[in-house]
Amino acid sequence: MASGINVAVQVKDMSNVSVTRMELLARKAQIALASQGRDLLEQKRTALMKEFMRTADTALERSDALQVSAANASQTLARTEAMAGAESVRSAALASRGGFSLEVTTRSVMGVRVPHIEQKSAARSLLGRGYSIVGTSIAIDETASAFEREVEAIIQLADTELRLTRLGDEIQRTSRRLNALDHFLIPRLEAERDFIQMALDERERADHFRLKLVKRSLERKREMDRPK
Amino acid sequence: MKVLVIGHPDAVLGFSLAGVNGQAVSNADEANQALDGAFASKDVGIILVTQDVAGMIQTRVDDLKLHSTIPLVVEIPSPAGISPDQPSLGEVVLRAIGIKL
Repeated sequence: MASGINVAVQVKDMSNVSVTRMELLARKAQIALASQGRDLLEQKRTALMKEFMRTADTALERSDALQVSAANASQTLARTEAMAGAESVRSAALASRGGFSLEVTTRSVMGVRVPHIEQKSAARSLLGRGYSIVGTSIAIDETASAFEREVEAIIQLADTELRLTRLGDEIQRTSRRLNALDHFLIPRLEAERDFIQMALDERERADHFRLKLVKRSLERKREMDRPK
Repeated sequence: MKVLVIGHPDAVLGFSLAGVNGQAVSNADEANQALDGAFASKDVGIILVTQDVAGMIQTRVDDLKLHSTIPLVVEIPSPAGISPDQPSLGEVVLRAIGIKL
């Protein structure tokens, strides 16, 4: 099927190709450029893949860790709401002070902007949480720590996950361009080059033959004119 | 910079115990508004969106995940757990390189 399409493309395209030496040289230059581009893209994809693979293991690990701590946190929250009452959870939540501060920067890997998150402060101390530890149940403390652990897991994952998603997107895009060059543009240019080359050769042979014909007829004429 | 949660009320409550501010939303309009608000404030470094809310505005979230640098947008599991039709990280890997890890 693929070859059928290819032939159709070739037949259609060859009608627009003018058979001249200039065109032949132009095609050769285009092929050189396209191959160079293909090599560059190939290198880019290899480099992206390397980075991707390095990130993938960590990300999958951290993703699993997050699933566990997220399930744990929401379970603890449900239990606490049942034990201490939804109202006291809410009031503790209102009193709770902000604890996480971080720095987000971006780095460029082969032209892909990937984020880098630097966490500045980790889990807070019991007293640093801002709500009164005397007035609240221990279940609330547990819930707070469970969610602190979840946030930490999320922040660790966010960094690698976003990097992975972006690298993956770029790899897909690069592969698509690579395939276009490899399977469409370069074969077409090569077919055109071969077509021009063949047509030029054919023309040369025709010229050669015509010259020989002329030469032979001239010789015959001379033979006839020669006095006997 | 700070972390902000946009999502299910239960998740927002839990995260605020951990000292992370949040905004509870229940429909796509509210979610869009919350995102706009978060982008307007210069202090937010990471926006966590729970999966159930992300599902309401999936195209926007996907686009932000790929292109927004500050703030970063991340999907997190909803309190109800992960929905099965959510593409996992393993599938992202699979789609990108055609190899299952």
